[in-house]
Amino acid sequence: MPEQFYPFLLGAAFMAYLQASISYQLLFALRRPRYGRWGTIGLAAGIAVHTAALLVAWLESGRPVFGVGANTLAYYAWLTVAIYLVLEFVLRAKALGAIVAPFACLSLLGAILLPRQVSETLRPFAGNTWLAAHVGVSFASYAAFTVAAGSALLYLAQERQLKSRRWRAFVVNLPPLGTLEVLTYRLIEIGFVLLSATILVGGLVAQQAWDSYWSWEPKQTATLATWLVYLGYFLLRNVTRLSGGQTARCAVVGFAAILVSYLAVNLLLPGQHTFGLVERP
Amino acid sequence: MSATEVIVVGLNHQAAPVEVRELLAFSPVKLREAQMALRQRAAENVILSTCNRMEVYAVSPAGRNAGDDIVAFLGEFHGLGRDEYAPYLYRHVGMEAVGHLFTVAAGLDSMILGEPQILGQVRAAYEASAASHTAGPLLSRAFSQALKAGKKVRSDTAISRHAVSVSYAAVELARKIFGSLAGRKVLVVGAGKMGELAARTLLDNGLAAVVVTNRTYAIAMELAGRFGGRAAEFERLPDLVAEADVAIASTGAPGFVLTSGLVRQAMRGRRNRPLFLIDIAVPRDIDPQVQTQDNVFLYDIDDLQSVCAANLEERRREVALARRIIEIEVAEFAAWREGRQVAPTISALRQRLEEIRQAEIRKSLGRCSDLSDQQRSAVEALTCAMVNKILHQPVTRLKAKSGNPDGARYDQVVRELFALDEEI
Repeated sequence: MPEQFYPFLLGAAFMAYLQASISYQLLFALRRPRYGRWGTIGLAAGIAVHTAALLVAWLESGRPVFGVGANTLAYYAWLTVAIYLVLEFVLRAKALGAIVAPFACLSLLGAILLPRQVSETLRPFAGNTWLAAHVGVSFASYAAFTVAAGSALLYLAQERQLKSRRWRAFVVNLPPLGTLEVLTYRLIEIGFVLLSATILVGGLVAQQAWDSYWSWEPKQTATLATWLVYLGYFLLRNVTRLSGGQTARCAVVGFAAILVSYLAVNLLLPGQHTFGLVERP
Repeated sequence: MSATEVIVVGLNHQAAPVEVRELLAFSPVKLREAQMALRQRAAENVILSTCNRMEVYAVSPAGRNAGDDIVAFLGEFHGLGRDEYAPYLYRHVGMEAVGHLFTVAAGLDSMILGEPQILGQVRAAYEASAASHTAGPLLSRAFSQALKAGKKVRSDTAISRHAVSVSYAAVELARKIFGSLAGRKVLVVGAGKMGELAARTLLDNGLAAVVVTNRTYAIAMELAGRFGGRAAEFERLPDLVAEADVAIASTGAPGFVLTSGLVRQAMRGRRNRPLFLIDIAVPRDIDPQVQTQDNVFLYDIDDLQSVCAANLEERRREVALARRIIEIEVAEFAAWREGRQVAPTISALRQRLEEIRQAEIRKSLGRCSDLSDQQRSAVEALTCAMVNKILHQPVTRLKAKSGNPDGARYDQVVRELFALDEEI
């Protein structure tokens, strides 16, 4: 019974996020406060339905299901929206919504369209708590990095406007540069801790599953590369003290590394982390 | 009898030059005397007198000569010949006057569109009249609704959101760069008037320390004294820039005082803190090349003025929305006014029917004295119910009509039909 609701609820959440995305774009273009309100309402309604969808999926399988195939995307989109909504409330600024809402929309579309089964190699470990923790923490770190990259992009856009000395209404809705810089930093801090935990717990799971903590499998390599990019971010910011603009670029590069590591490696390259697009039974 | 209306007679910066505005201005000392003198001619009055406008709001009978009394009063009070001031005055009557008041309170009629002070001035004018009891129910309601409209326009539109003066543009930019200004240091280089004004505005908006430097140390000392800051030797300029978050340059020097090399050196010392440079001098004090350096934000006087122009454009974009808000508020006031007009009619109508009912009861019950108490109260209840049933539709409809333009006509007809204005 509940499994019939899952795609329906996910679809409803998608529509709400779509509405929110359009509203936030309108807010940017037309700067009318009411579009900002519609955006927030869309995201809040979306996340409510989205939460229901995840709970239904949980009831269906008897455990949290962020680790199953395209469900990771649904879980990731949920976390991204949740982080954003908290930030919107705390910072009282809605500019980030113009980036985060469309992104959540796309991820949820992926969650709806992509197949939802576990890859054959993982099937024996489907109930493993460590595996669940590994996947849960990894997507939480992705969500933090996503919002951080959005914030870094806003920083770069605003810095460009301020530098050009051509004051446009564009700048009007953005939080100050200083605020965006600190926000990016804090989010990357959180993401970095979670990503480190992902790698450690992943090693434990790999030891149980394949008798090896580390095997230079494509996903492991890509994740290590991502981790190094973010380590570089901390060095640039806190040791060499480069300008906010340069560290913001680094935050965007780190997110690009995550996209590569998720899209290319998980979905396309063969390996233990493949979610079934290439080796569908 | 012709209905009383709100009337405004006055002038603003567009209608009259400053010489005329001066003549008609009411100083705070004279205000009460003026209010009292006006009371002889109008039921209620509020006088709004600022440097850009002088307006007398009054309640008196509408008609072709509405406001003539006030025009005459202005001449008498200020001792002016009619030709000196009367041609500059505008006057509005009824809902137009109310609409004008709301527009003024919202800042749409101000010299600087959306400027915030006028709302406080409107409130002060009303409070002064309330204190001397010259503002009655009609103006009280009009002014409180105007203040509400003014607040709503400011909160729901961007009409007074962004800086439209050079000094405030500097503050707004500093906020965009740093976020909070608390604890930020400002450096003033040179003793130009514009620089001083910009620095003062920054200080008023939360910047903490100020350091003043000038080629002549004595001038730096004097200026620092005025700011409550400290003076520093001109030779230490590279260090001073390195320590500052905002630097304002307004010297009379012919060449660049803050050269590209000097700023580069200062940036090295300050690591990851942005530097906001404001160049208000003509000829310029800061090499425009510094703009290419990372984390340096340079604005000269033209840049700041273009920020103001862009912001003013943003404000103009909001005028239509502000006018819609005002229309709604005016309509609300009009509905209140109409409702107030029918309320006495309705209570008079009820009273009239109740009198008839009691008179008839007395007559009938006097004739049949053998009724039991129970029967008496049944008769009471029956007649009450009939009166209420008969009144229900007319009262409901009268109330509904009261918001409409023809509400007054219905009111008049009911009074006529039931002879409510006559003793029976």
